[in-house]
Amino acid sequence: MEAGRVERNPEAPQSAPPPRAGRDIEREAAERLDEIRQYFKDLYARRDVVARTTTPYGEDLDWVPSEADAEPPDLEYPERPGTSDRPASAQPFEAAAGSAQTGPPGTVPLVRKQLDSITAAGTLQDYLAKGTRAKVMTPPDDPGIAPPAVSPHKYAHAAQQVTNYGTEGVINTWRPYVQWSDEFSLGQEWVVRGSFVPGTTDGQTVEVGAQTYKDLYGDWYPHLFIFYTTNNYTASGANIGGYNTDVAGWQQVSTSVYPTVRLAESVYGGDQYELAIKVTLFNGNWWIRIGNEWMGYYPASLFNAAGLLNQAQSVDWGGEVVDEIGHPGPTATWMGSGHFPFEGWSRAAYMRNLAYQSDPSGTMVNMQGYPHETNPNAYRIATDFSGTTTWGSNFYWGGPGGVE
Amino acid sequence: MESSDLPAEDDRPEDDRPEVIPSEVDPDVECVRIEKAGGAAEPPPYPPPQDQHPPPGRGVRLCPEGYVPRRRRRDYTLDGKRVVTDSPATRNPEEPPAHGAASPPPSP
Repeated sequence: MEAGRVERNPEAPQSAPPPRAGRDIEREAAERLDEIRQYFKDLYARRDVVARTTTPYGEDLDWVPSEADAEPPDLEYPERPGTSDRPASAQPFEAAAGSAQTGPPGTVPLVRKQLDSITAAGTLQDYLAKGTRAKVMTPPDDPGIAPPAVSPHKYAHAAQQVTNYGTEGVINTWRPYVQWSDEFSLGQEWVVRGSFVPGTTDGQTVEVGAQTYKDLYGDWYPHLFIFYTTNNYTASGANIGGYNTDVAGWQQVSTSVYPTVRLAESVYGGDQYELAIKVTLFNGNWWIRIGNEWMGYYPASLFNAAGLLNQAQSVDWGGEVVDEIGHPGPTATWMGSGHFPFEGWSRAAYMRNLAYQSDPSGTMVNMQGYPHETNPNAYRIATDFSGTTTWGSNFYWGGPGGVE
Repeated sequence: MESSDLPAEDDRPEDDRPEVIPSEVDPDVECVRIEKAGGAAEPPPYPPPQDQHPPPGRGVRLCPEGYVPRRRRRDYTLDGKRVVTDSPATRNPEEPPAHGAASPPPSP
């Protein structure tokens, strides 16, 4: 009988009961895994499957009769993304890739998990909850708890200090190798206002990008993410900050694009997939557009007058990796494609046509960022803010890590 | 005396649809009734650039009419942008692809 992957915490509490034999733990894990797989077997057996397809990500879809009457709007396609000399594709956004992969009219797709790929270690309830396990509260101002260890954040990014009302740009998306579940790799924009002096709460951001983070998403794949802080990252929760829709604050509008949706992976030396991001302060809300779809907004009332209530003071684009200090040596987690900028088109990650909104009416100005690398042996950035190409202000960024 | 053809607010039929329902398409997604999700704000009028993406979502509708998708909400604590867990980290079962070893960087 196959068992889920189980890791025993080596730091058992003093008063804990004697540990069970390894065989008991393995048997219990195997029974839990069987229960999870049986749940899905039963679920799939009840489906009225009309057709089966496979998505570009290798996910199997069952197409079943739709019970909904409404049809999605028939939107016109604009020109293709990318440029003539550097062609790229739009995000297919999961199963939405191409009519050849859809079922007959009147059917909708349901994901069919490959049962062999389920290796969860928890209970069925844990698995369906799709969450990380119970969390330890460690408020940073609680003197009774040891302060959290500092975990180095590594960056290759470019920032511009300028009064602005938003930003826009296009990035190509990758699946960077992330070494540990508690480390992440991302490429994103930051719209920022505040001093960000350590120990203060003076700092507010609206952030959008692509992130690979096992502890957050439950897999090793890239996802569209949004994040905001109203307090210099000192606390999270409803209407004060956090990821995606895991905390209140975000107002979802789009019916098809939403935070956490999985992103396409560009191929080294091959097909490139782009993600167009726009953030704009409009009528008292920080709106976010993905491609040409307004995804939703953060009400500016979440922020204060010294922060993002009425404007921002800098824009920032680039990559970030967390190198969790609990693991030996410098992390091997990639940034971007895992390749340095000098490798260029189709091999390195890029961000192009970067601009900021210079007034409330929507005027866009090419970004003139100041590049910064915290660990240039591991992660680099190579900028071109001359605006002399069809890519406008742009840069290549990323690297393989593995060194300080 | 009422001057409007609209019924008084108290007389309007209540929307008895559930505020949140599971998505039929993706078990990780739930659907939120629109007035509970996006409010009444109108998006900016700016047109999308000509070279941007075609609209996603064709062929797939995560939620029925009147609802918008949201990943199922989870309860966790953040330390900055890092998720705080009490379970040990797991190592990525895959090794980096060979090309990830990459060439040495040029001098900073």
